[in-house]
Amino acid sequence: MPSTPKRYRLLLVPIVLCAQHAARAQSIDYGALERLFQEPVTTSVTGSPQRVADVPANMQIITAEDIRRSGAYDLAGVLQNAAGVDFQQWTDDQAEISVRGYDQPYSQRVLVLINGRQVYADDYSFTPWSSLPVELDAIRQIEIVKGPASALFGFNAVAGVINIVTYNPLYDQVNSASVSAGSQQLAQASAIATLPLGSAGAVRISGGARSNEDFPVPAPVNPDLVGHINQRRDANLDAALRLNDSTSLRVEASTTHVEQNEVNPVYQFDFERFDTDSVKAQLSSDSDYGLLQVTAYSNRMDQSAGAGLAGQPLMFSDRIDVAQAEDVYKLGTSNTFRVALEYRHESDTTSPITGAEIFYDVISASGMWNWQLSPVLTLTNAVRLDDLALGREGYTPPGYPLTNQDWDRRLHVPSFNSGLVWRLDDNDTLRLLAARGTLLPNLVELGALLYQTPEFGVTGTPIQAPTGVENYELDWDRALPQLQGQLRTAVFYQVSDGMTVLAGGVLPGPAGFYVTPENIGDSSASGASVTLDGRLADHWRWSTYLRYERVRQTFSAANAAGVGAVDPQDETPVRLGKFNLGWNQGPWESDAFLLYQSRTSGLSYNGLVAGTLITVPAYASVNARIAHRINTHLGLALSGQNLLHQQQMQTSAEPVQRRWLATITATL
Amino acid sequence: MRSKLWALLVSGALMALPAAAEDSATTLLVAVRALSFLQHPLQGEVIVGIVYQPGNAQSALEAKQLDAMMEDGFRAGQLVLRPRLIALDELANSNVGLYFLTSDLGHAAAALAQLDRSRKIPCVTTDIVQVQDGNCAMGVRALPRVQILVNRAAAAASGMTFSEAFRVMITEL
Repeated sequence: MPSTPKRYRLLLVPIVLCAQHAARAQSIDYGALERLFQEPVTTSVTGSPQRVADVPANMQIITAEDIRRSGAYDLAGVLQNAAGVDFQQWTDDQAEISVRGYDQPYSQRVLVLINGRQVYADDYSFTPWSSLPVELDAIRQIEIVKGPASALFGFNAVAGVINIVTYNPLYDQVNSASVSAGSQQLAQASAIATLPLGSAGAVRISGGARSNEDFPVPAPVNPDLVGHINQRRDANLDAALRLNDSTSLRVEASTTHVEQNEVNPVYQFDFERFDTDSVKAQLSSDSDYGLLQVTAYSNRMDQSAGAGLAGQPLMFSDRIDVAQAEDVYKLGTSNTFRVALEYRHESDTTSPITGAEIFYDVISASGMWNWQLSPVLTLTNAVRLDDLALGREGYTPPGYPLTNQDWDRRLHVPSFNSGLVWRLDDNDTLRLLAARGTLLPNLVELGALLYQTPEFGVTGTPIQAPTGVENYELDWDRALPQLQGQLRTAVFYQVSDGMTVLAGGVLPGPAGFYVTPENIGDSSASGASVTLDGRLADHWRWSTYLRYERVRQTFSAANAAGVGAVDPQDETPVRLGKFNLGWNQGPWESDAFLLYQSRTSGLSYNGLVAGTLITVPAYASVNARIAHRINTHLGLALSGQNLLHQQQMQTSAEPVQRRWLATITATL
Repeated sequence: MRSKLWALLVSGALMALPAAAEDSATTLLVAVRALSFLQHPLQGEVIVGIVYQPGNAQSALEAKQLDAMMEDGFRAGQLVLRPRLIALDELANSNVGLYFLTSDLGHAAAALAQLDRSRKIPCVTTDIVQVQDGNCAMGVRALPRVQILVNRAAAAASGMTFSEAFRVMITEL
């Protein structure tokens, strides 16, 4: 046989560099599967490993490259650029994220996880983004599932799920350090080190610290409440141990401390402190009985609010203990199943009147059936049943109209996800999706909030009904090889039944009346979105995202104008656009991001609750980054946010300011 | 009837064969990566028997390209692949650790099925028909989208068992 031209041998270079033995992976080796299938891999839709193009959901993955090139210094800043994600910057370090509208302070409808561990806080049903214990350089990918995903993840995954997947120290060595400085007196440092333990596994240690001033804030009612320097510190440990050829143990632990100005759920300016701790252990085995996984984790979060309620500081201690077991297995050639059981105990202390605890226990069973009807047609059905037992124990103040026994209540809540994925040809895919998820009343609404004066009180109650969210959707994706890109379109209709507000009802009591949460009515959203991206000449990449969405609400008369601090119809932009243009060559990278949002009306605090509607004009903002890699270990980056204006009104709170950031990164 | 329908659909989905050398390189890359998900992956130095039919232009061209790509030893993790060209009529005398079946061999490849079953030797091909017919256990296609097809019966017969994480992501017959 004659020899082959040298150019063919060059093709082997990436093969030799990239091909690695995966052996019998003890846990999901995202990197090995991604290299094999040449696209991201996820478990966040069905619980089973899937190529992102095959999932029965509208999903987007933010890669490590996207994170780096975003120029953002925090998670919310990274998500700002993501298609389908709503972003509101309320203070310098409080950004709220939602999917397909319904964004507001303490946004409730997206369940956020880190490696499958819930970091969404159940006291107010929100995600305290600054307190999430993760360094950006430790993230392999951020998975965004749009639409309800309660059949896999349970309560509160109603508008979507954001699962932050970090590198697994068993497979990925990450060693880096960075320091940043910028406007608003920003100073930030981050470090990540992976320590191999020989054939036994590896440990990754990471941590960071940040300090910065807030944007100009309103004159404080109480000088103690504002004007502080925002601060964030976190430390994380991630150990992965290889127990045998098919089994691994991963232990993660974290702690964070955050102090920052915020706009709270009733749109009141406040200074919040968060202290979180977590520990998680996960045993994974690729066995003859399928992909077995047993997980246990425990979250602790203390959240205190300086403004509090009527001058009394609020302090909630939220505790979550979760145990999960699941098995994913393939039966025959065409059917993949997932069966799972979960137990969860959740509790929160009452505040500002202390001495009692609201808690619930949830036992859940779920199943998923992925049926490959043909090589081009797949039907996936998933169901979950949550059995929740609510309770209260501890002190009840004199004259309180409820007893602990009033909390002895059970909820049986079903959820489902169904998806038909039809791969029409090599380039075209259709998805038909239907799902129902459930937003649980948060612990504050269920009674953790307890305030009383001789004249009146404020309390959560056990009678709040969950909010059910249904989503129906048709997606069409088309690969565009000539553009090295993809067109993605979606048409969706979403219904939310029984939305809840924190303060809308009244409960009479022997010593006066109590303001309570209330189910105020229903809402629906219909919309369409188009995403188009591509690459040009190896050096350019571009993307555009456009969404049109109409939200309607049928609220009770007392809440029709958003008095209860929920007003998605006015706060969701009808038109949303995001554009990105990026370029790289040699050691240089540069990216620009444009965000456009049509006019909205936002609520504003009126001294008691949120009730004043303020017009937020349509706006466009630009973020940008330019970076230079000095050598293989050292890089410099300069990034800016809100570059078009020194300050700009983007919400009904104070204007956001232009920001600059310079970063030096060392990698090994 | 159902199996025939599957075969028809699989053929439609995976029909195109890589013709260019670039495609062959990418396909080889996919094949090697896929083999790393065997429960007992190949390790050390492995002789790859590139099975071809000398009188068949398509088969001979593909064999030539594969041989050239691996002629200096193809290293992948703990695996080093070294090529050996094997004409179909010389199969009985071959002594290899892996077969790479070239395209367009038709029914002549049935001889390979008998051989790798008796010797428990894994087989990979880009010719999906050979996977459908059970003559080779695993078929791969790299472009325009990676697709992997495994004939479970042929795989079991040749001693190939894959990790569950891999199985749930591929197409099986």
